[in-house]
Order: sequence, then C-alpha cells, then structure tokens
Amino acid sequence: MTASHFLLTGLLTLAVFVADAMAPLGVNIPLLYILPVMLASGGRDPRIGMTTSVGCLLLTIVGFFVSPSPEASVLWKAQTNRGMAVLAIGFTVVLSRRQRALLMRQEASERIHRVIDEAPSGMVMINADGAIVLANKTSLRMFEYEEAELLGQPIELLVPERFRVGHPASRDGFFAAPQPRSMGSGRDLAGRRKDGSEFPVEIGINPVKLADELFVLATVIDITERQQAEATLRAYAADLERSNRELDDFAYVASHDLRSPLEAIKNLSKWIVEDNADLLPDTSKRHLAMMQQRAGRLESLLDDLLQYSRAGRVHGQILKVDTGELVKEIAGLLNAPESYVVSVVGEMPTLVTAHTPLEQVFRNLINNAIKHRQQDDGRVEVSCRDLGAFYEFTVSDDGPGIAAEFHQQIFKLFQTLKPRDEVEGSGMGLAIVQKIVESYDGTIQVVSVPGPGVKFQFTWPKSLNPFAEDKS
Amino acid sequence: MIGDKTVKILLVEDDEVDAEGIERAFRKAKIANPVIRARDGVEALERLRGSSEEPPLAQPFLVLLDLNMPRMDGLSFLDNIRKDPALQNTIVFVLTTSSAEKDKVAAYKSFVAGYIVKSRAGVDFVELIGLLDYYWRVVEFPPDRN
Repeated sequence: MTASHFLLTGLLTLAVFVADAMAPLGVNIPLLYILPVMLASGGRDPRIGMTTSVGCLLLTIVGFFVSPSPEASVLWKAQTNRGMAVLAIGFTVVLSRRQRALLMRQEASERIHRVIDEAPSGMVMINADGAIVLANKTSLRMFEYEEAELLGQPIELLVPERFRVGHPASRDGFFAAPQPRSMGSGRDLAGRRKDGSEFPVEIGINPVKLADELFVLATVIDITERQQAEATLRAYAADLERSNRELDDFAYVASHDLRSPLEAIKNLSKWIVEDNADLLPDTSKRHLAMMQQRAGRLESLLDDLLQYSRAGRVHGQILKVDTGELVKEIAGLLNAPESYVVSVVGEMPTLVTAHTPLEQVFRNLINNAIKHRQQDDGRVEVSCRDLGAFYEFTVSDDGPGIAAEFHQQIFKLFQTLKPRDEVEGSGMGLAIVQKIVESYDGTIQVVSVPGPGVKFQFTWPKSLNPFAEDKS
Repeated sequence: MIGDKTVKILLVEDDEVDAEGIERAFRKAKIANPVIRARDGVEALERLRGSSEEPPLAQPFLVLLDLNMPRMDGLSFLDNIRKDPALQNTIVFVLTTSSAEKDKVAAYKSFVAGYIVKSRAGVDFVELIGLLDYYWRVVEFPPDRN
C-alpha cells in the first residue's frame, strides 16, 4: 500500500466520521465506512486492512454517542441502523480478506508457472497413461512444438522412432516403482523434434503426486553443445598426444640417427692418429684431439636432448626411495676428486615416488656443484624440510656461486655461464631439472646466499598424483 | 696359413666407416680370416648364391648382419635365406645399433646365432672379435652343400 493510499484511507475515514457526527443519528452515514475498509483491505499488508476495519467499527460506535440524539421514541430505529452498519462493515471485512487471499493464490500460481516456463531445462509432465499434461516453454522451444500440439499427446511423440517400441513398457515400469533417477544412465539419449530431427539429451525423471494422482515430471537438457565441447576437447587431447608422440619419436630418431655419423667422425679421427702418429705435425694432432672432444660434446648434447624431451613424461618405476641413500649412491657414481665431500645434513625422508626422475634431479644438481667447484676439497650439502604435502630439498655448495641477475637465465635451454672449453656442459642440466620438478608440480629456485656458493631449493611431492600415467 | 677350412666372414654393412672399423679390428687382433663385404641384403644374397663372375660362397662362413640398410634390410635378408633350402643353415650374427625390443624378437625368430648391439661390442669391437675368434675355434660349422 502506497503512502497516498494510506492518506486517502485516513481522510475518507475522517470525512465519514465528521459527516456522521453532524448528521442526525437516524441517518445511516456509517455505511460509508465500507469505502475506506475496502480500500485498505485491497493492499498487501493485511495488518493495515485489519486496523482500518477495527478503527471504522469503533468510530461507528463512537459516532452513536457524538451525533445529535433523536427523540427517545425513535432511538430504537437509530440503534438498529447503527447495528446494521456494523454488520455490513463486518461482512465487507470478511469478503475483502477472502478476495485478497484468492488474488494472492492466483499470483503465486502465475509465478510458479512463469518459473517453470522459463526454467533452463525443458520440463514435460505426463500422467499414468503417458499423455503429456504439462510442457514448459523451454521444452516447446527444444522440441519445436506449440503447447496445444503436445498437451494430451503420448510422450512417445518426443522419443526417436527407434526407441519408441520399448518406451511405454519402461514408462509403466517407472509408474509401478517411482523413484527419482536419470533416464537410461550410460546410454546416449536423444529427443525428437517436430521435424523428425534428433538432438542429444540428458533426462531426469521424478514422480509427482498431485491430488492423489501420480504424474511423472521429466527434466530434459539439450546437451548438443556440451557434446560438441567434449568432442573438441577429445580432439585436442588426441592432437596433443600425437604431437607428444611425434616429438618423442623425433627426439629418439634424431639422437640415434645423428649419433652414427658422429660415431664415424670420432672413429675416423682416431684412425688418422693411430695410423699416422709419427707423420702428423703436433698442430694436426692437437686439431684432431679437439675434433674428438667436440664430437664427444655433440654426443652428450644429443643424450641430454633426448633426456630433456623425455623429462616429466616418463616416470619409470615407482619405488620406495631412501633419499639419503640416493644422494650417497649418486655421490659415489660421479666423477669427484677424493677430497670433495658430498654430505647429507639432518634427516632425509624415505618416500614412494618415481625413482629415476628424482635421481636425475639430484644427480644434475650435485654434478653441477662438482663440475663448478673452486677447489678440490670443496663440499656440497643436501638437506630436507617437510612442507606438508611436499618435501623441500636443498642442495648447497661452496663453489663460485651465481650472480643474482643470472638466477632465471640458468634454467633456460643451452644456457651456460662459462665457455664450454672451460667447463664441459650442454647447458641443459638445469633445464632438465626444472622440467622434471615442474612436471611433478614442484618448484625449483636458486636462493641467494651471502658469501661463496650457490643454493638450489626444489620441492617434490610426498605422494604421486594417482592419475599420473607413464606417457611413453 | 689359410686353408680351405678357414672361416670366412660375410660382413653385410652399409656404413663404410663401420665396415672399416670392423676390418681394422680384425687386423688389429691379428685375425687373418677373410672378410667379404656386402653393402646391403641384395648384395649379400648375390654373394651367397654366386654369380657369373663368382661361385657361391663355400662353407665354412658366417654372416655379420646389420639391420638398417637400403634396398633390402637385415630382417628381409634373414627371411630370404631361411626360405632358401641352400642357405637356410647359414650362421648369422646380427650386429646393429638398434637395441629395440621388436628387432631382437624378429631376429631371433629367424634363428640368428646371436644379436649384438654395436655399442656393447667393446671398444674397437674387441668383445665381438673375441667372441667370434672363440666361436669358430669351438663350434662345428654346417657341412658344405657340395
């Protein structure tokens, strides 16, 4: 009820009261209270209607006492008139309230209808005979029918021909044991449009009991777009798989086919030296030695390239790995001077994980430390910290360290900070390490330390993603 | 002294350098058995069956066979000799860079005497030479078909 309605009601009530007070008692002015009562009862707030009604009734009674009194002989007429007015107002109140309740019910049902019509899913309700009793607008749009064309028709009208035969039987089955469920789970369902074309659907069916009659409400979702999206996604996945496989094949072929001419170059240069050691001038011998060294470098580059292409995609065996032991084993296998110390500081965990990739990470980091050592009695330390779902391993050495501006660069392919003639390396070690660590959802970084040395920190998951597959 | 009973080696290898490497290795080990070279399966078959210029290769001999070769590869060559009644008893060692499972399976299905991966034949093929040297000293070769 708006403020103006409210004001109008008040003014009307007041006007009737003034008129009543001025008119002689026999004149039935109070009947006019019906007007404000109707006005107030039409509003949404039932309390205002009630207050107005009670107020008007009271005013009718008050009016009896303030109006000019008639002669005693006609007093009974005035009293009867008053009583009739009260009765009439009472009736008006009751009728208005009824009217209002009816109106609100209609509004509510209208609202529910709109909601059903505009629901994002198509809704179709059938009775026990399989006849359509309700079809919302969405379903009409989906199946391209008018409402009148569907109501009363068998639901099979919307089912593709090839599924129609068995449909009534399964429908009866559902009515016999109604349980909300999705239809034909696992099967590909289709809806049939008016023009006979089909579209993929997902259907949920629910029993609905209305006034003792059982109906079934089917919720229909058009999944054309979803299926297209899934198909696109599958195509992408297949593409990706193929290109991964091609890359793998390429890396394999490249490293094998490039290796054999390389092997030949190495052999030929060796044979030249073997056959002509006495004849060759020293410069030529030196050149041949350099040639062999370069061939060796290319060989390890090919090895690393193959490793890089496989990093993170080939898990190998999942084993129980004692990381402390692993570090010791690696230290034993690497080419370090006797006096160089590889040590484990504190507790090292044992975990079930992909052994080879983790070993590769440690081997590359420790090998880097040894390769770049400043003195033969240097040391590299490995430690571990528990970070909840991950372990954080730290490999720190006392070598020359890495200037902060190179901390990102070193993880790139083919990056070396020293000429290859000084320190042999393909520049792929850290790139391989990073690729492996990140493929296990870990991170790797260089931590700046004061003084000499460099500190690498990487995280490794305590348990492997159960969906991780060996993709090779 | 090379008599009639000296084991000959038919080296089927397309790579010039690899072939020379093996020949060098024999020389280095002072093994004087004749090495006959064929560049692919077709040439090897010709050599085994003989031609207008040359008679068929007489026993005892063994074949060192590469797998990846132009024209006729090693596995097809094996197929051919196993189907040929005159050649099916040939002793063949595969000598290849391939360590692929399927190559090994296929080779042994064609009854090779051994499958040797080049990278595991030792520096300068020393292990291979040792194996062959021992092999023909101990093993009886099939009698000559003539």
